[in-house]
Amino acid sequence: MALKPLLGALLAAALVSGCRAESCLSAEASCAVASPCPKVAFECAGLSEQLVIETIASPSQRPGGWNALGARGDVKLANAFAEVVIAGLGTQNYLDPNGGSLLDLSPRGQPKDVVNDVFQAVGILPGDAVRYEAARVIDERPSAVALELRGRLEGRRDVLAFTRYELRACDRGVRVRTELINGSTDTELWSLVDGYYWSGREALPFTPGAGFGFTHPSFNLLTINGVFRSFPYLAAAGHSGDDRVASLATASCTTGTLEGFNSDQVSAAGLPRTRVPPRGYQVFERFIAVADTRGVSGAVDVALEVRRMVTGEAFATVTGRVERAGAQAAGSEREASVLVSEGRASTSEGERVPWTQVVPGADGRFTARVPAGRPYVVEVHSFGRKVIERAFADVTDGQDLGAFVLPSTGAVTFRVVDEATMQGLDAELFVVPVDPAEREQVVGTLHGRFTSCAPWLGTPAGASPACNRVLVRGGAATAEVPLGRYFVYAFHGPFWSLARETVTVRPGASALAFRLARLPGLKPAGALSADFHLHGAASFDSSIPDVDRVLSFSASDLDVAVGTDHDVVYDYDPTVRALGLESRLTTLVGLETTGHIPFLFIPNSSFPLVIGHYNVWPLRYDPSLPRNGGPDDELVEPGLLFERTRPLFTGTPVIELNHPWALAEFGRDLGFPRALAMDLRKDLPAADDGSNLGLYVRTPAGATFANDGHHAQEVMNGSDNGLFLQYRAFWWYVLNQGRRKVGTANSDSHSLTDNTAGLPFNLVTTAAVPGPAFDANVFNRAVLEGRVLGTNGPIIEATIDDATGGRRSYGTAVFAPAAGATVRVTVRSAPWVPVQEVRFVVNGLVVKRVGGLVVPADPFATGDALVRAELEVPLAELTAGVTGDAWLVIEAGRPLLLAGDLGGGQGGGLDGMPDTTDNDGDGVVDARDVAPGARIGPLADPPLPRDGEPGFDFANLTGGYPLAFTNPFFLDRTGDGAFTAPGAKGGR
Amino acid sequence: MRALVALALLLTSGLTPALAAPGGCVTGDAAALPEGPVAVGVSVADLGTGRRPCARTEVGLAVRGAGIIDTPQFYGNVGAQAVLFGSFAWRPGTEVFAALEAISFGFTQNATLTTTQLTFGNLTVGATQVVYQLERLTGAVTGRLLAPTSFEIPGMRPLGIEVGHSFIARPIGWLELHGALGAEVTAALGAARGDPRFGGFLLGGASLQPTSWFAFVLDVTGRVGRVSSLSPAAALRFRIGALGLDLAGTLPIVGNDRHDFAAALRASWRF
Repeated sequence: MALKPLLGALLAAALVSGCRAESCLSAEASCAVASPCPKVAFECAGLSEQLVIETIASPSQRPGGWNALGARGDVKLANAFAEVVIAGLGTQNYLDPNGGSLLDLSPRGQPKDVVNDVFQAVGILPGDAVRYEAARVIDERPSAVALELRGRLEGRRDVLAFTRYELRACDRGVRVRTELINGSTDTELWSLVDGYYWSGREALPFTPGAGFGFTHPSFNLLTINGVFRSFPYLAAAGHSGDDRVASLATASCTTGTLEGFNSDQVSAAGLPRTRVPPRGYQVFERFIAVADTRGVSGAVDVALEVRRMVTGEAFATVTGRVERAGAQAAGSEREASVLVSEGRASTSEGERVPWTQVVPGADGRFTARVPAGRPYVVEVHSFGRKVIERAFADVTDGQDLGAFVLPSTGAVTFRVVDEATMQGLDAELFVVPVDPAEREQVVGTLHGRFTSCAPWLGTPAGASPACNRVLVRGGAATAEVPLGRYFVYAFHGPFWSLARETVTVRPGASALAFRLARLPGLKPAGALSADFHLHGAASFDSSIPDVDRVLSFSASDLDVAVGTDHDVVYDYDPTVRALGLESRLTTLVGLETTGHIPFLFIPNSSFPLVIGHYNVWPLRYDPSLPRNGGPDDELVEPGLLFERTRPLFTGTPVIELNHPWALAEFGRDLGFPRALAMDLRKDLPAADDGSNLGLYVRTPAGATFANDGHHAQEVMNGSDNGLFLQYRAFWWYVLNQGRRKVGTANSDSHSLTDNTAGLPFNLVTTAAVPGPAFDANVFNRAVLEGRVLGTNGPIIEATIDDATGGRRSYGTAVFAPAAGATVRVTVRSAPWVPVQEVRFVVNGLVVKRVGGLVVPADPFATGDALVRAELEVPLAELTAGVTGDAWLVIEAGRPLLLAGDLGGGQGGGLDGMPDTTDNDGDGVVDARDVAPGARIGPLADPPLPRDGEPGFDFANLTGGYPLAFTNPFFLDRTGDGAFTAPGAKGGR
Repeated sequence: MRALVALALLLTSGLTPALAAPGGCVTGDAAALPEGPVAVGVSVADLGTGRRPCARTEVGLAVRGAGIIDTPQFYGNVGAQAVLFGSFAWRPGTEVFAALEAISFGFTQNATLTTTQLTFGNLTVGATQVVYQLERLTGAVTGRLLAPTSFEIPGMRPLGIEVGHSFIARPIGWLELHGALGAEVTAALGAARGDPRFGGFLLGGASLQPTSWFAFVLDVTGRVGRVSSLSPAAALRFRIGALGLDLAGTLPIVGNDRHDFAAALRASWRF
């Protein structure tokens, strides 16, 4: 039969094709991934002995740097130029499901890792990430060392993946080859890329392209397909403002371009989006360079060298220097950042192609590479603004671009002292232009990225000076300030006076002195100020160095600071000791669990969710372990996460639900209740009934904690009280459900700029004392008992007489009030913290407002007139109309805007959550308050005061308004010895 | 109702001699009417759809599309091809045939990422040999080769072979019964592994052919292999002179085949 030979020939052909398959495209068990980037060869002499590959066994092997994560079991490759750490199998980090991602990349011997995570994926869904399942160390010294990984796509087991990370003796970075084979039966769309997880306040992506550089089109997960671009390379550099930064860049080893997208959160760089039918494959080879430079230029130089080897594109090295009138030193990004863009003077900014960004050295000199023979425009940016632009035609190798003379600045020396002792204080200075016209003259950004600041004294996310903030250590600080007229505030926390000077900064040196006074009697005896939610550079989205971070705690006069870096445990105590603050400042070791990989489905929704963020403390810091000893927090419901965390606690545990109703970012939910789209008009079920609310209360398999097993929740988050109305509404809801969760107030500070550490804070009534004798268990128990006042300035003391004749303060304990009991309230605040209203809240309803409180005439007074209100209100007046038990919360601060629920729930329906304020001021919340084109909102904050209005100076520091709340009094009005949940209707 | 019955009787009575040749194959006025199993499937190049056993000489053009729209998995894939096909009745009972996907278009979506592809598609060539023929029954063996012409898989060229047996029976003039049994192996040539995949199918169906210019076909195909499914298929067939038109569709209802639709419109000229 003639078909037999045909069949045989076909089979033979297929088998032969398998034998001929390159590298691991055969998918055979014995295959070896080909060495990446054969066209790329760097030269050096006598350095081959420095080529090493090792499995990390101790923290000393971890490359340093703010983002260094290498831990036991991870694999480190190093040569004379670079150190690379690849996550060990089974080690989950961020978006990497199971290890194998690039965790650390640093110049050899330099603690300058700025990489969070570089992982392989073919799309934006969780199932599109590569899950590596086998690894092989390859030691081919002296020529190369490599790590070969094998795996599959997380969501498609039939798609096979192979990656080889390789380092040769002279490589200025790591070469990588990834092979993917579609063994499935479906045609796939692959965007085979390296995903670079920047996270927003760290390294910024830079790509050549018309109008690109640091600027990239904005997008969300629904519009992402439209922002894919081709670019010659992707570069980035850290912006922590200190020496612990490096640059990195990636370029293709096979073609002239990469394709991907870029944002401050995440970048993707790889192959073009491609249809890959069954049996199709892709091979992606790239070189990821690292260099010891502040701007991106060092790594760009290497990328251009790679391009020369791969594509033959020639580059030119240019030099130049920046000088500043007054001959002050350069050497930092804030003072000079040089952007070199292809184009002419007549080329619009949107058409210029930025090729590199270089930060001059301390002597003002700079060197950079760009493609040769093209016209360029050189811009020099200083203090966030472009100050010089000069065009050069047909740049050639070795060309000297000459001198760029920067405008003068003022060098201001600040002095802050304790008025009583004249001793220097740690403090934070806020530099604010005196009016909008002055602001316009000094407002700036880092090449359009990060927050805009006026003045822009430094990278907002980094070290002091940052944005318009300056840290003062021991009473002294010096900063360069652009010329202008400013209010300068000196701040040392809410228990101290605030000082303000109005200054005109002129060229040259000047001095500015402040005296601050501790306000007597403002801080209650036996109370500690504590911020339970603080991030430093160890977090994937923070660049503030440890010294500045801890100094900011001291500047706010915090007693207790809980370090809660995202997904990594970190210990600030060594820095506290290095600064000599251990006698009055205690730091606790904690972590903020941060869901990255969506997995959870809720009823009536087809989009996978993450469970949001929880703070957990106290934990043990162990840098030898993945995540420094933190839990694997992915793909689990909260109850199981708490279970995983249980063995990691080192004392009385506290679990805090963070920002429960915050909006999701980049498809990642920040708060579990909002992720669940809970309908707060309904009571919680007793057990999982299959509903969204049932998910909130259920106990996952394998856990002893319920999903709502946390102890505390944030009611205030952030210095500006953003979303306070919603956080408060959710807290009130759970209190009405009989869940006695402790309300907290935290800054969630990631830098000097986004939020000020200690604003707001928790005033914890406890027997613990800060310093060497601090007892974390005593302190934590006080927190768990609800002896916490949340505040950004106002101090509320409140008591109720109980049925036994005792005087009770607020807390989680339930008590029966005395017959005819009254609520005694005293409100105090610093003069710069105006308190205009006291509110009484019973079972979720504001039942009484006491307004018209007198605001101090002089916000900068240092005297002792601190009492804003003394009230005694019959309890019966407050609980009128309530049947059954009741809880009572007292608030003080600025009057809030009326808010209501117009929708926003699942499917757009009502959900009991306020979403719209009375924006037209007619006394009702209705459709007329909704912004044009929207269905709900905005949920506005009270308008910022103008100069001369109460709270103007407070708002200059916080961006918000004074506010404090007590934790509840739980009143057993029925006398049954228990607190019976009032229910969603508040017992009315 | 009486009129409808009369019309049906008129359409079906006494037509057998004019439409069917010995062995059940269409002939005479109905010669251009497509016959045999529904010629649309979800496999590459329509492998696994069964081939009519009756030899004929014809040329044609088809437009074919198939797609998967899997909203819960945020996945979609739609393909469409313009296919040139033809067959030559080399001698009675022997046919050689070929089909060329002259243009192959694909659209694939992964979450919100999308891309399209326009390329040269597959070429299949084959032959059918009648192995038995009775008065109302014809059976044949078929072999089909998938040539490595497609550029749809970057870096790889698909190839394959299919062998099978098919029959056609016409117990009464207006009713055609048909069936097929086959096996196939496909693989690819290129830098990566060949990844040979084996499969088989069993097909049965009927064509209601009340006139010389119209037929309605209903088939059921069962497939086993990497993709296993049970798929009903239907077709409307028309004849206008020597021009045959075939509008067909199929949909897997059982198994792991994820296709949500596959349809084709074929126009052929029989010589």
